[in-house]
Amino acid sequence: MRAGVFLCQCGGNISDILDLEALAGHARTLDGVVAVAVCQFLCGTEGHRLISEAVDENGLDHLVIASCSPRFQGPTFERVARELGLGENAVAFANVREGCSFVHREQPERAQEKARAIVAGAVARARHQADLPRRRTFLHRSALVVGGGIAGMTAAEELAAAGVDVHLVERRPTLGGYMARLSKTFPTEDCAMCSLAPRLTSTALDGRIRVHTLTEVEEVAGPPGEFRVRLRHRPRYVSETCVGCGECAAVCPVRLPNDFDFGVSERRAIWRDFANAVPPTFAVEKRGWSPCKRACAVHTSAQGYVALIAEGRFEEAFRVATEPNPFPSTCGRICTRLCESACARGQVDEPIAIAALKRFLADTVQDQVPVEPARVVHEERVAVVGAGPAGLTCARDLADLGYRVTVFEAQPLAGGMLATGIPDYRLPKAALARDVARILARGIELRTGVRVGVDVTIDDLFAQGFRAVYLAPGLQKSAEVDVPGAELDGVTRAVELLRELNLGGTPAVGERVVVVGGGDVALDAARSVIRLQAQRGLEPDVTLVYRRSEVEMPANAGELAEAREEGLKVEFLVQPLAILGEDGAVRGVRLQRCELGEPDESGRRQPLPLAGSEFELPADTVVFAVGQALVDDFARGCEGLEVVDGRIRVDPDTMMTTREGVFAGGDAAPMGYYTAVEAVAAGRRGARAIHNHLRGHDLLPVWDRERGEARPDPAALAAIEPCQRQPWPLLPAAVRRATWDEVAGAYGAEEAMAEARRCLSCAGCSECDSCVRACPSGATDWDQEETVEEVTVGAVILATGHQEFDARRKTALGFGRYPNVITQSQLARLLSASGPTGGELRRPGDGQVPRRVFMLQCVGSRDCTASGNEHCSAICCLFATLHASLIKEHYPEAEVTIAYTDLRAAGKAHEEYYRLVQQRGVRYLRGRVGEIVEERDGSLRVRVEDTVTGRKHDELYDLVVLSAGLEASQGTRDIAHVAGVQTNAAGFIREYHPKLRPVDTQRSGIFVAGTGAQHAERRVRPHGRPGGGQRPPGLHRLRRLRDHVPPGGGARDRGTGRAQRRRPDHLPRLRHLRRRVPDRGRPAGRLQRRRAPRGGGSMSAAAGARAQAGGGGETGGGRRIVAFCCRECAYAAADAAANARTPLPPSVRLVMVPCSGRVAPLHILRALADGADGVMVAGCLEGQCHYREGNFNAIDRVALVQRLLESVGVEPQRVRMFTMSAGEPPRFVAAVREMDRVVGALPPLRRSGGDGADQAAATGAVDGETEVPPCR
Amino acid sequence: MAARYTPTPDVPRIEGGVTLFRSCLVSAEYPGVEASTHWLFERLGIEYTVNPAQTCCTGLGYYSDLIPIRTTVGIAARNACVAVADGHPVMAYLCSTCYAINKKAHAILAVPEYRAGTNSVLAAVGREYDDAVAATVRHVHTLEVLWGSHDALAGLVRRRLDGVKVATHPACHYCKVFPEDVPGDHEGLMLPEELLLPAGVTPTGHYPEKTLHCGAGFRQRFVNPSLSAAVTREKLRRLAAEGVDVLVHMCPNCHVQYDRFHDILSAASGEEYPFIHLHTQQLLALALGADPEKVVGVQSHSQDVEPFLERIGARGRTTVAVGGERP
Repeated sequence: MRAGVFLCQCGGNISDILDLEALAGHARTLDGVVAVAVCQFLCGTEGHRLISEAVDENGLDHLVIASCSPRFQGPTFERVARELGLGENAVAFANVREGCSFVHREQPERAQEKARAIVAGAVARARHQADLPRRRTFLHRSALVVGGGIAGMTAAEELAAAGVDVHLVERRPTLGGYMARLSKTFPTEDCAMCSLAPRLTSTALDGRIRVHTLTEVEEVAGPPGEFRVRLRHRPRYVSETCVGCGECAAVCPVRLPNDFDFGVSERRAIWRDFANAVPPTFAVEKRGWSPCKRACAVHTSAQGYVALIAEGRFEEAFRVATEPNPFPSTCGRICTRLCESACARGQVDEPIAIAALKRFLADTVQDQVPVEPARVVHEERVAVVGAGPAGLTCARDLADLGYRVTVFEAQPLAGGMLATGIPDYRLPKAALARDVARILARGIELRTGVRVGVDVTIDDLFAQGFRAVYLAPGLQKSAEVDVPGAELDGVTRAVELLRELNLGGTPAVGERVVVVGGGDVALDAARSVIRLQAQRGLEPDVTLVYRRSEVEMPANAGELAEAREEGLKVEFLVQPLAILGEDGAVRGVRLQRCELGEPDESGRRQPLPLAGSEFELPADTVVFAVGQALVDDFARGCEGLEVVDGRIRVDPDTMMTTREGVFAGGDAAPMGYYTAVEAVAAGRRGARAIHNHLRGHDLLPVWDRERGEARPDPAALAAIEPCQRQPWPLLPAAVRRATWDEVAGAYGAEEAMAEARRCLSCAGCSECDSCVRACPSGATDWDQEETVEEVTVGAVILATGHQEFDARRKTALGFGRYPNVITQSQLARLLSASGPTGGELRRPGDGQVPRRVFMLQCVGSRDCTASGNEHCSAICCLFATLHASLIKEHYPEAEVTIAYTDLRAAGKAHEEYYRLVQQRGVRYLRGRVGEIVEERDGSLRVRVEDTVTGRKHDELYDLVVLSAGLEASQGTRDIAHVAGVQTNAAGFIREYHPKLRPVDTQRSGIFVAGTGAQHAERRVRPHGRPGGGQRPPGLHRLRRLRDHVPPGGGARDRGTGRAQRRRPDHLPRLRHLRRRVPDRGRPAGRLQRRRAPRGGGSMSAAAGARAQAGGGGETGGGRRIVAFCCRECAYAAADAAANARTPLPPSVRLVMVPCSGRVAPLHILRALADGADGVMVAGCLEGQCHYREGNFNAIDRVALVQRLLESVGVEPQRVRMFTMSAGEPPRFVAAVREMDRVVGALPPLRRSGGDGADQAAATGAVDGETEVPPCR
Repeated sequence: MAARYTPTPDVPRIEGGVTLFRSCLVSAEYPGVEASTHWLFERLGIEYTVNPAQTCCTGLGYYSDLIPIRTTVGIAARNACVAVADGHPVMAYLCSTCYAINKKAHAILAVPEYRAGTNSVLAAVGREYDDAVAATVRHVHTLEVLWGSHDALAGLVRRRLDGVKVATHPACHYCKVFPEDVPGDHEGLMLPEELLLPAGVTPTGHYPEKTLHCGAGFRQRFVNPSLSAAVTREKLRRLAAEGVDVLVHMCPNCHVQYDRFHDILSAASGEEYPFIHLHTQQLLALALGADPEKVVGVQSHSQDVEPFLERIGARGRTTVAVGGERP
């Protein structure tokens, strides 16, 4: 080291007390000092020149400045050192003014001795101060502003004006935030939108601001200056070609609560928050697929046509219902209704009667919707084998795609199993015929009575010029029955029985019939037999036997109940063992009871026979309905077609069989359940597959690209008022068993609309495509998908704002239950000219103008119960006052009462405004409300005690407005998590320091603006509105970031931006000590632990502090008490005391540390070892540490050292912790005097056989680590 | 969209068994409540024990100003020691008075001098309420134990209660003494109604004056009978206006107040209160197929519950047995 010591006379402030020449002489003797000079004013130009010359002449690498407090002129000399190219850490300060000459004026000799020690200590400290590598952060001249409210927009604009590129991120579809929803602002009663609208426009038009709406910040990584931010853009589903005409919203049938209006109005699923929104593009709320759509095999937008029915738009609804499924009449009657099983409404009361609504459409509007032949686009002809639901759907879809299609059907009529397998009372022939006719009207040729495989082979079809064949022959044969006696006369099969019936025959059935099976076919057969028996004048005697329980039964539960009413007997958990015969005819069935075992692969519990439970049932006819099989002659002339387990094998990706050009679907090649709607789905897949095959490309997805299910969460379902299904008429059981008339009646238009209105609109957008048809500019775009973008920015500003306290949490106040209890935010919308009522105050319950209005303050604020928040929201008093004033202005005869806890009107002109509104006739009542009860007429009974008069009031009001407090918005909570910044208990983002660094967060380079910050209330008030515009906090900080020196001089973790932990070797580890640190309650709400700073920004300075504490080996004579003083508080207090010339005991040696938390136990022990008689650590008052908890750590460590000293026989009172603020010099003085007195009374510290630190080390307590990590 | 109620959050299923703490009021007035709880615990596979060494909590005596707090705390300490020693430190209460007084005693016993005083007495019976006991013992209401297993209820329902409108009477000593420990909304308790949801009941959710006291007030019933009855009547009127079928209880003291005085108040005021009172476990047990007399103990009720039993099919039709047996 080549150090120069420069002594400042300070115009006599120092030199009048100290003999500087003698001091200079002493300094020359110190090791490493090569130049010493004395100057009158070292901080002036003369001093600078002196230093400069000395550096040049002597090649100095360190400067020791013996002058005033480093808090005073420190930056000056550090700048000089930088200018001279001495590096970052070349200056050591000897505070001989505040630390010596000012405070020891009465004892010049002691002062002189002490000064020698101070200078020697500073020289010793300089030796430990090494140059630090200075790494300049590459600072992106760009910033991310999160939150598009007034604070975010203001910040973005000011940054842009300063030449910074800004990414402005907003999670909603439009900018504007909370302020866009207010009616007026207090205390001036300015129109909120009038103030906001110009800013919206200027932000949108600013070339430096890129606005990202519908965007979430997913990750903020990297160091300050180079934050890598990942943004997730949610799709808007409307492209920028949208001209904002609103035609789409006018036709959208979905009504959702309008969250922009805080739920006091409804909006559509395609919407825009307000008329002059920025950006003006509409957006679509798609939450996924509704449960009904997802459950349906065809993925019909049931929510879509239900929503259109609710609006009375039946023809459009019919189009939506038939687009994917050409069998509305049929499926409206006989569908298995998985959509209804999945319906979320079923969790509340009963599912929407989706099938009945579809039937209503088919029955009433089918004829009004004309059907045109499809245009032939492609020359290729396609043959479809089988005119069942799969074949006909495939044919229709192919016709719609522009192909010429011929359908071959073996039976004399089209419809497949729908025609021959379902009895009339369930599906009348006419209903099916209507569906078939509409399909054929698309220009499809139908050839009935042609059996492919018998009358014509598949090879023939190709030879006739068909380019592809779709096989959908169905399962026309009954499965073999493996029960003894199945060959007896009187044993029949359900499929054959029903086919005979449907083709006009009268099957022969006996007087006592047993039907075996639990599916729909079994039930159809059983109910048909009941009718056949009734027609013969017999009392029906039909028993259905099923081997599992009612729960496992696949047949429709409602139909089972109907069948029981018609007289069907059912035996569950019973299986047939044998058919008993007599003379070749059936006389009964032997049965065995079962119990249910474990579920098998299909998930159904297996029946296990119970030994000894056999019994007989007399019968003359037994009908088996236990499965169907493929007829085997259909595929003749089709070599290479593979049939496995009685089913045609197809490739699930292409729907093609093992033979090129031959496709298959329906029951013959099942991909799901054997149901009509599954067959329709198969037909659709087949058509797309054939189209792709014929065109040679994957033009259409064979399987639908599914979206996630959008199901309301349990809380939303719990909020729904139960409302049972609209009933539909049923024929009386006695009538229906005697006829073949359709059992179930249909809805009328009114009932259908009422039923449709029960729909919960789970998915938001119902995918009815009304908007697509209505949009004149073709802007809707269902192909938009979520995208992720990564941007790099220099700084991040969080302006994510607040939200209103959820007043439903105060159950007794009735919000959410009583329509006429609203919040101030809702009232703001009702009073806003752009609100749902155009500014007219109408109470939500009945639209009447309220005459008596009651406002209740402090709802969820200043509330220590579990359901409230402790903080004062600070704006509510004036928010209510403003609204009361507006009500009185528009409705002078209205009575407005505000019940308050305390009236807080501390902002500029707020008190005056409050008095003015009081004079306008608004009644202020001091008291809180116990409970609000709704009366029958919708008025509200409020019980409140006037705490001024002590009188209890029980009054009726027309409208109650709750002043629900402010909470951190969900956006604020989310971004705090993503950005890794601390929040307080209420979720607001914590500032670095509420007074000193109110816009910084705990993470460098991330700043906070607007009401998202803790203490936001203090800031909103001067602006008179929540989220009041603020100067962009990042601007000046951005500049400062340029000179960023990584703390510790070490590398930064590129991922987190935190300093990497490094452990120099020369200090011992304190692992053992750490373990013994007592636990202590901590401030709540921290997400991220902050590390106290390293001394002067460097680790070597901390070591230097220790060296300085040692005084460079100089004792300075007499007692020595080392005072480690926090730069922010205690050192400042010491300076202030010194400037007031307060005498101090000369024993005290000030050592400045950046934070008391940086004082390690070893520093204290070393100071004692080096000759100090006592050590005091002075930090900030509790809760006021500039690094949050450095002082807490110091308190813990001092206690630890005290115990350690005690354990080695040293008086623990030699070490003490003090806390004080910078403004408390007397406290510092008292602390020093106290310390001097206490230590003075002790016997001299014994240091035999090693020093204190060595003693401590000898106990095994100290074994090696440098920095004291946070202790918990 | 009107909010009917706030759903109760799930609580973890209690493993390792509970001590079912017997209640003097339950045993004396509605033994079916305890029998129903045993029955439900068995159906749900909840391990439990009834410890014969347990004594009365003396909460009734304390709240009636008959027994000093030191005595009650001492007895609570002993009962906790008994439960911990038995290896079932989770104490499940049928009565909200037992719940609150034992839990309160637990808090009082955290104060060293009170604990020392209590232990000096306990020493005479060879017990000590030490740190180990304090750290292991837990106090929960039986409803919380059932709520931990509520997922299993849907599969066990044997009598549907479709269309039965139930309302909760939240017990004050459950909801108001330790509000922060109540699962869900302590001002609008839904636990009893939600336990019954799988059976198809229609919940009432919040109704005006839901948090109103039952009127019993321990000795108030006797020393201020007119005030006590006025409070009870107020709530009965509200519930009648809500169209409730069953008011479900969670505290035998409330249950006594409503059930015993229901018909008397109705006759005295000339008002109709067309609903009945059942403890939550009683109604739940009925829904799961329990015998109305042998398990639910309806014969100890003052009100006529027969029409209700007929309505839900607990009369006249064979009960479906549980556990795979066939009738």
